[in-house]
Order: sequence, then structure tokens, then C-alpha cells
Amino acid sequence: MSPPVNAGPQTGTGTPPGNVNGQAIAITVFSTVKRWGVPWLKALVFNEPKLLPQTLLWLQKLSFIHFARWTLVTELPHNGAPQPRQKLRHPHLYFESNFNGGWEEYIDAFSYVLGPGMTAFWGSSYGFPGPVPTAPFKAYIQTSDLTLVASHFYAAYPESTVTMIEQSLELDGYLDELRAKVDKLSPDEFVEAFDALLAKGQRCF
Amino acid sequence: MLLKLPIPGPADLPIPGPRALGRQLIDTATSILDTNRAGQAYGFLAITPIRPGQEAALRATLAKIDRRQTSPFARIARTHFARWVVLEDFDTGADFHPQDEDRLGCQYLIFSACFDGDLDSWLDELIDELAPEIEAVWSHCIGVEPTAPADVKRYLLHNQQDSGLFYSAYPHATVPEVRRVLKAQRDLRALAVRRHELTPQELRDEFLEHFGRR
Amino acid sequence: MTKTDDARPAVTADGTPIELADIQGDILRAYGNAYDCTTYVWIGLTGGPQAGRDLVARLAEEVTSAAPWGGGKPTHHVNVAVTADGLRALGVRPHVIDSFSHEFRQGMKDRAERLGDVGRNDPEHWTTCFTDGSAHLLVTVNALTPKRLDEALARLRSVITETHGHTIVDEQAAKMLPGSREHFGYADGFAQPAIEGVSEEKTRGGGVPQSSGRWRPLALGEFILGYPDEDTRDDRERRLPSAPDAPLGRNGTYMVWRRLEQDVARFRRTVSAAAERYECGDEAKLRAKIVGRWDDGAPLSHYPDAPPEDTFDGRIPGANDFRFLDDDVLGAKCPIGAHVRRTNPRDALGWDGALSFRHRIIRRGMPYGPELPKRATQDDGQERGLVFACFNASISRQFEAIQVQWVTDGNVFGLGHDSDFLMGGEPGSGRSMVIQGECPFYLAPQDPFVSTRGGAYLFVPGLDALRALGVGHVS
Ligand code: HEM
Repeated sequence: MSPPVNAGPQTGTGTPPGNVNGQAIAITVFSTVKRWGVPWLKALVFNEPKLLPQTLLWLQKLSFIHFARWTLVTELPHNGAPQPRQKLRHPHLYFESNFNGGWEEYIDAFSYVLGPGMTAFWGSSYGFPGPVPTAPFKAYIQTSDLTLVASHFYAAYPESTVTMIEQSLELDGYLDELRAKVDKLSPDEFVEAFDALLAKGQRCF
Repeated sequence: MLLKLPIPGPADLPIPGPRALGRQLIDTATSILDTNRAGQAYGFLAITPIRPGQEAALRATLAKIDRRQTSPFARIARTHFARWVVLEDFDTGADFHPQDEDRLGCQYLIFSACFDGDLDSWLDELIDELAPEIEAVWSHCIGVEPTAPADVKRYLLHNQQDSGLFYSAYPHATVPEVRRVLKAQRDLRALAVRRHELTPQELRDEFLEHFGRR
Repeated sequence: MTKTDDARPAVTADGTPIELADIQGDILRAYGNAYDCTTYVWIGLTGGPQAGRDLVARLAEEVTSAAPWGGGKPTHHVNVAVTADGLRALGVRPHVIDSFSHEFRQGMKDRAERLGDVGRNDPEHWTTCFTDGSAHLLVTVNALTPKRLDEALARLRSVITETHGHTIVDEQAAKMLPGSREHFGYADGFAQPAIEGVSEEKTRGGGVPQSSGRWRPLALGEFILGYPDEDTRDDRERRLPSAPDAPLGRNGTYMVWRRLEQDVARFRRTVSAAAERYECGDEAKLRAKIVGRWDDGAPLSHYPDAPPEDTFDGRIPGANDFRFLDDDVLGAKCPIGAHVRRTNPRDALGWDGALSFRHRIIRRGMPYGPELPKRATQDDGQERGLVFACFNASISRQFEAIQVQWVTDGNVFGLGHDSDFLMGGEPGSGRSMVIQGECPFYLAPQDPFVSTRGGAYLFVPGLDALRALGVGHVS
């Protein structure tokens, strides 16, 4: 029997505190893109309406990212001396996301579910091992060198998750219906309408 | 391999969403016109060069700025998220690089924010409300006079990096709205628990008190 | 029940033989209901590394494996697990210790905040051996009768004395209450993961639910180190999941041990007071809604309105075969926040189970402390609760994910920051439970029912590995 071979890194090492604010976590990653990745990302991933909504739909359904952005950095503007003139030989993909916790516990799930989307975004980056098996992928994104640590991270509502916000927005729609007619209802009718609201909104808490 | 994105299994998640999903698709279309937008939200990113030798001083300055609800960004009520991150180099020595990886000639400061409405007025607010912090932070950077509002604005726009893609889970909800609906959710739940202790009249009164009429 | 007479060699799906004789007993299959006298003995290796290794070597001779018993039921079983402090106390080389998982090396106490062990659960309320680094070895003794247990414990004590200088730092007797109940009054011990080559007969209900309607068993590597897991089972390079350096990584696993005190009187008072306001049912139904099973164990998914006429038998095939998405997306039968729906959401999170299948544990918990008299609603000042014990190949991915994401928080289920109602919450936290249905019931913020009183992360070596530790091969 051959001895066990490590297929990946240790887990449970924790997110650097600099990237955490309440439930909110900041991810900032730069990866270097192979040259063919530029047309691929620009033409297909960022702009092609057929592929894109699918990936975004998954993000939406997974409901853990508040805001995210992908940016291809191909030049760094010059601001005069003493900034050295910076010519970039390679395109660099900047990714940032603001999302709620569960990060470590769920990396596996993300790679199963978002695997194809991740391949679309990062498949042209150097070193991207593919989303599955998950262990090498974890090694890739957990490499502290790739994931930058924020020096300041502000979140306006740090204790609220994406799902909570989406639910509250939906609930508010139902609340509005009752707000609109509350004056027309007798107290007893109101109780009935209130119960109907609680029944309708029961998945929004 | 890359071109075929399989459709996931039965994803009838028991969480709300269809409405939001429909909207998202429309937003995707509009954001193709301005890739920094998603719905009414704007994502701003600027990467500015740090003065050689001042990296540690900048980090120390940033470390002193309070992160929680007293973060200076809390003064601009329409800001959802914001961050400052120091980028030391592209070549981080890991195995994820081409042979001839780019080396940065100096370190850079990444500044990014997600907020409601348009960039122009947000930058004005930023420069207005965060004057002391802007001075403290960007005085360590090259190419800006951080006490001159017009110069700061010009500088941030000059160093802006446009998004390829900007995503928001709730592209139509502003910060105040998010806060309001979250509070409504908490209040309604508390009222639901007490529903049986209250007479119909009391229930109605409490409802009006918390949620008002329309 | 334990299979005692199955002579077929066990193999994983890819034909790898499962080395049952090297895997400690009670992990893959429970010793069974007959062994209902259990004592957990915690030992501090205060006599120095050599004396520690001598003790481990002696214990290794006693330990029972997962191999079929052959000649009838043994009267008792001894099993051994070791904490990271224990490995250090045994003089295991630092670079070998570094090959263990981060969370194991860190230990349960230092992960308290993440686990929700704050406030009433804070380590400052734990038995000191779990916070001062003196809990090194856990010896679990299971016996057929109290007399056999006493004999085995006496023997253990003499081994401890003979090998010099060790201290028993904690001893916890545990026993199923009549009717296989735990202290709140629910029958426990039904649902367990179905494992390829080990417990495939439980696949329906215990495996991974597939969108085709079928289920499939889990890979052995999810629970025992040294075998392919769900991630590497199809790996072309046949890499194995990360594990401690040889020979320790082979046939071992990680164990979580927690002493969870239960405030039974408070639980009864809270539930009966809430039942007064519960329009859609009575107290028995409300109790069932909290756990997802009626008191006798019958799942709400099968019996949404009333428990079965005859006492439910969880061992008959199909007893645990239920899902949530087919006809209970909204939780009208089994509430979305019910204990069993939280701790094993099966298909409830969508995505063909992708968000839940890697977060399964094998549970071997046991109640401790005297039963509170049947109708009592005032506390009698005696400590009672559950020794929560579970096995998994990755504590962070499996136990901690369940504890952190599913028990202590509700966000993935769309339940905000509500925690598991059965565990209770800190007063003032506002956490509670919504019981979904035609007339949804909004429970008041919960009281603290369950409090952590101690615990540790452990490694359960295979028998060869245990012997290697005993002779100092890794020191
Ligand atoms: C004092 C505390 C606890 C009590 C009284 C308790 C009680 C129960 C009961 C009555 C069941 C149903 C019986 C069964 O399905 O076998 C159950 C199932 C379960 N519990 Fe707990 N439990 C406690 C703590 C925990 C904790 C802390 C966890 C995990 C972190 C956990 C994980 C599970 C799992 C995984 C199941 C099986 C669910 C399934 O597969 O359907 N329990 N528990």
C-alpha cells in the first residue's frame, strides 16, 4: 500500500481578520492572465449575453455575494515622477467580492456548483487548477500570496447576509400591500390580513 | 471544455428570488453599456502608486482608521462597501505566474467602493466628507495634492480602472432602503411573536406605529 | 445492530480492501444497543513521554477493531483517541504533528468563538482539563452490563497505574435512557451516513440524494483516512485526501467530543408554554416540529400530522428514507429549522445536494447524568446532558460546518441568524424559530437549553498507528 499523498492543503486556517467585518468578508485577488484570455474574457465572459446570465444566475441563486467585480488591468496610468513608468507585459485579472461568511466551510460547494463559471473567469489565468477536485483549487485560492489582505474594509450593514436582505426586500413588498389598505380595515379584518401577511411572508425571516 | 457551461441540477432553492432574477437579467443588459454599473449601483476602482519609502507609513495610517460603524465611509450614507488594499507586487513568488511575470516598479494602493447613484456626486461627497482621511492616505501616494479637492477628483478618475463586469445581488436597493427593510423584518417578526397577546385594536395600532400607512 | 458474522471481505467502490482489522471499532458501525454502558476516561500523560508511550502500547493490546467478531459478543470494548496535546506529550516529532489538520492542532477550546462557544458556552465554564491542556488520551469503554463495565474500568485503572505517573483528569459515565431516549425525551440514534462497502443497506435515506430519485452511498474516505473521499474518488491521478504522515494517517480518523449540558426543566417549561399559543397542534406536535421527528423517532416527513400507531422502528429499511424538496420545500411538514433538517439537509439546499453531501458525520453520542423525573418542570440541581461524539475525516469541513453554518446560524436555510431551537440561545439574542405551515407559528426568542461544558478534538489512530505511537516510531 502506498502512503497517503496529500491532495491539498489543510483546511480550517481562517480568513485573515483584515478581510472580515462582522459577517462580511472581502476578497481581493490578482491573477495573471494568459494572452488568449483577453479576447476570451472581453468578448465572451464579460459581454456574451448567453454565457454571462447563466453564471450570474448561479451567483444569484447561491446568494452569498453582495457585490463582485472583475476587471482586466492592462495598464497602470502614469502620474509623473517618482512613479516608475509601468509597462505591463501581461494582462492581470482583478477580482473583488463582498460576501457573507461560510467561506471556508463552503469552498467545496462553490467549486461544485460554480465550477463552470469559475473556469470561465479564471480558466485563462496562470496556475488555475480547475475547480475539481477541490483540494488543489483550495490550495490555489488560499495561497495567501494571491489573496490580498485589506487594510481597511467597510461594510454598511455588516451583520446582514445577502439572503437576509433579499428576504427583507420581498417581505417589504408584502408589508406594502397591507400598508396600503390598513386604513380601510376594521380591527378584526386587520387581524385577518395580518395573519395572511405572516403566512405569505413566512419564508422571509 | 470552456464553451459548454452545463446547467445545474434542480435548483429550486427554497429561497426567494424569481423577481430578483428577472431583474438581474435586465440589469446585465444595461450594464453592458456602462460596465461599472449594476442597476442603480456603481462600482468604483482606482489603483494609485505609493511613494517609495512610504509604504509602512501608509499602512500605519490605514491601520489607525476605524473599521466598524465609525469608519469614515459611514459618513457617506450611500456607500455599501469600501476597501483599501496595498498591492506589493504581481510576482508573489508562488507558482501561479508566467516566467516573465510583471514586476511592479513601486507598490500600489487599491481603492474600491460600491455605492448608490452616480460616480461624480459620490466623489464630491467623498472629498467633502473624508477630507482628513483623504489627506492622510493619499499624501503617501504619487501625483496628487490631497488637500485640493479638484485635484483629488481628477487624480482618482485618472487612475480609475473600469470593470469588465460588476455584479450586485440587489442592484435596486439603496443603502437606506436595505437598512429600512432589514429593520422592518425584525420588527414584524417581533410583532408576530406577540400577536396573540394583543387585541385586534392593539395589533393594528402597533402595526401602524412600526410600519405606517401608504 | 452490529454485523457480527459477515465473513465477506469489505471493499470500497474501486475495489480497495477496507482494512477493518486496523480500524478501531465503533466508528463505522456502532457496537450496538446491547452495549449501553459507556464510560469515557480522560487521561493526562503526566508521567512523561516514555511512560505515555508505555501506556499507549498497553492500551493498543486491548483495543478492539472493526473486524467481524467471529466468536460471539465480547463483554466489553476499549477504544483510544488522542488530542494534539496528547501527541505532544507522547513526544511525537513536531513535523509529524504539523501533518495533522490545522483545527485538530489548534484544539476545540481555541476555536470556541467560531463554534458558538461563547457566553454560557464559554470555555471558562468548562471542566478545567479541557482548557488547561491536560486532557491527552480518551479511552472509551463500552460494556454489556454495569458489572462488565466496572471490571473493564478496574483493569484500565491498573494499566494506568502500572505504566506510572498518569492522571485520570475526567471520567464520564453515559447511558441511553430507557427507550433509547436522550434527556429531552426524544429517541435518538437513527440516522447515520451510508458508506460504500460498509453500510450500503442504509443508502436510501443515509446516502447522497440524487435528482434522479436515487441515492448513492458516501465514499469511505469521508470518514476514514487513507481512502478516496468524495473529492478524490474520481481523481485520475488517484491522489488521496490529506492525512497525517505515515503510518498515522492510515485507517485513522478525527473525533469530536463535547459535553453538552441540557436544562431539561427549562426546555419542558418553554415548550409547554409555547404550546398554549400553538393553534395548529398540541405540545407533542410542537416538540416534533422542533426536532423533525416525533418523540419515538418517527420522521415528520413521513408522519406530518400524527405519529404512527405502533412504536416507530428506525431500523427497518426505509425508516430514514425521506427528502425535503419533493413535497416539503416550504417546511410545512418538517420545519426548515428543525434539528434533523438543519444537521442533515439532505436535498433541501438544492443543487443536487452539492451544498450538503460533504458535511456528514457519524454520531456516537450518549446521554449522561440522571433522568429528570417525568413531569418535573423545575430543575433538581443535577447535571445531565449529552456526550456528543462524532467521527469525520475533516473536522473543519464536516463537524464544524454543521455546527457553525447549520446549528449556530440559519443563513444558508434562509433563516437569518436563527440558531437551532433545540440548542437554545442566549437570552436577548432574539434568535428563535418559525414553524412553517398554513398557520405559521412564530416561537418567542429561545432560552438557553443546551450549554457546552467541555470538549476536545481528537485523533483516533488505526491499530498499527497506535502501536507505532506506543513504541515511539514517530517520536
Ligand atoms: C444536546 C444536544 C442535542 C440533542 C438533544 C440532539 C438530539 C437529536 C435527536 C433527537 C436526533 C434525531 C434522531 C436521529 O435522527 O438519529 C438528532 C439527530 C441528529 N443530530 Fe442531534 N442533538 C444534539 C446536538 C447535536 C449537535 C451539536 C449536532 C452537530 C453539530 C447534531 C447533529 C445531528 C445529526 C447529524 C443528526 C442526524 C440527522 C439526520 O441524518 O437526519 N446534534 N439529534
